[in-house]
Amino acid sequence: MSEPLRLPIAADVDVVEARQRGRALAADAGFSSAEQTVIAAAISEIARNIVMYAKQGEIILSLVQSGGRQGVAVVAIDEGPGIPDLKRAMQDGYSTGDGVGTGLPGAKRLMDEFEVESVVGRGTTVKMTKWRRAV
Amino acid sequence: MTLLVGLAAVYYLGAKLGLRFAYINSSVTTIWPPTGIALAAFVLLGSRVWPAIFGAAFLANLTTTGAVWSSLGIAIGNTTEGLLGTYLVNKFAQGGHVFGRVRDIMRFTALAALFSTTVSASIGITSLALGGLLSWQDAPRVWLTWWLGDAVGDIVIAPALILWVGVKPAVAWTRRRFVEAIVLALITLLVSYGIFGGVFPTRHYPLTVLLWPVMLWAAFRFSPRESATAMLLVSFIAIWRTLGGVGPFSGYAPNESLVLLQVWSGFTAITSLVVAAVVAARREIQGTWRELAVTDPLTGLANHAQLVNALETEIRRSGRSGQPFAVVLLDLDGLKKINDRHGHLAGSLAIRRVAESLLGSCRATDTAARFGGDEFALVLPGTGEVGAWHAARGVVDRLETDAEKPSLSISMGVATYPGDGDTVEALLNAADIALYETKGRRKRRAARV
Repeated sequence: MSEPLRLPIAADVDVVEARQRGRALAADAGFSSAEQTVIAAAISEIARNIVMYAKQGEIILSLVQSGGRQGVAVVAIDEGPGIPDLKRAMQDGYSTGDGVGTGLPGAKRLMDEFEVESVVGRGTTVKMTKWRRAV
Repeated sequence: MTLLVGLAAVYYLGAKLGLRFAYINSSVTTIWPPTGIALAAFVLLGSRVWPAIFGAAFLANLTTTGAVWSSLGIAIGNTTEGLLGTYLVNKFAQGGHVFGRVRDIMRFTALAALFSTTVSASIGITSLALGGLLSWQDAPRVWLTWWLGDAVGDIVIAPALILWVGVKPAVAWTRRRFVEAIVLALITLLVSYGIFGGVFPTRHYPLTVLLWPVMLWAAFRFSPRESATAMLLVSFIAIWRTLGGVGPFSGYAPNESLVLLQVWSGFTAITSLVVAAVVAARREIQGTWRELAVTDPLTGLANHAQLVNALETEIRRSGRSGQPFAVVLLDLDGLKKINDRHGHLAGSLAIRRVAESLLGSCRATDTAARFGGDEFALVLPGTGEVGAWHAARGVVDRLETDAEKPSLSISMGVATYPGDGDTVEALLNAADIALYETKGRRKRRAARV
């Protein structure tokens, strides 16, 4: 298995980099064009989240395997302010005021597995995986 | 370590069970599950688990005959057989995915079940003969029994293990499916008992064909995994009843009965695996077709047909509930220019970037569609004009903060049901007009500058 790819995230260009690397990784792993778009969209959401709320953080991309299936795993770590009301941040809607919201519900909907941990004052960790559909 | 001990214990029990049916020589039997256990273990866990197989094989034979050197030889043969079979399955038959395709099942049968098992039979028979536990005259006949036991062990045991442990089920079972699985298992047991159980004790009616409806049920309603499991149940009952002296294969000498039964089991198992694989493949192709019929392959968004479908569904739903819904049309500006200046690859990438923005900004109930070269749409249930502009704003914000080059801009138009129209055509028309108004405004503004 390939080494995980660690990408520092601090500006919009880093979001682009993370998304492009995610797209390329998914393409290498044989994900369809449509699935690559979905993975890139989810990475965009959580990477933008880091830039907007934590200012800086890290995204780790890796290929994973389970039961003969291949997947792309994305971990986003920041040491930002954390999310006070996680339940509300995960609500699927446009009510958060600003246009792009927290991006978390979008990312969750796009991926197969999604986990978020957040401690106020300490930071947020998001772990998500997309599995390739059987060939 | 726990894994190795556990595996060794399973192998040992399988071996001891098999050796209870050793009729022509205390070490040779037609029923030999360990071969299938070893093959499945190597395929699933890798060849590093060989010490467990080797140790368990050695112990099982040692405690049967007490002959150290022969047992050592047999253990070497058993381990080598599994490693060789696994090497061939991994190299030529897709390893753990072997039961997904007919071609790989055929290769599995030929390379692992029929070929790799000759190694164990040959080394084992030689070990027994050298150890004085078998006369050389008997060797060919005993070799055949050994080989058959190993081959059927591979064919009946390994598929169930590999499919249960190695392949993740696609979807969780519903309650109804669960009930059906239990009914299938019960009927499998019942039919097997009917065929092999000696319902007519003095007559050995050869009615093994009665099994086929059950195997077809497993294949067509379930997956290869359930087919392999059903076959395992059948094999178990068939062996048990045949040893009890009843059923179509009894009425011969014990070893002869078992040889006949195992030949039947081998062919039945392979045939049902093939049927199950073909059915599963067909089901998957249907799924892919169905998906291709409603999605745009480049972006994975809904296509035009699915957009119309979603609009029709929402019109019906809103007609009943009285709730409004909105449709947003979005146009990627200057796609032609991007294509001309940066090439079609950049054009495709631009389309995917817009799709990513749409996917990121819509809710689970929304539909994002690409219905033309540079034309996109969002269908937003339970949303009025304000909410629709808010959602559209999300897309624009995502594209504006996107630092990827070339930078993209989009034009939008919103229409709501029922205010702007109450048919698919009327709504799309209204949104289209709104879209061209914003486009025109922007062009005029640009021309003025």
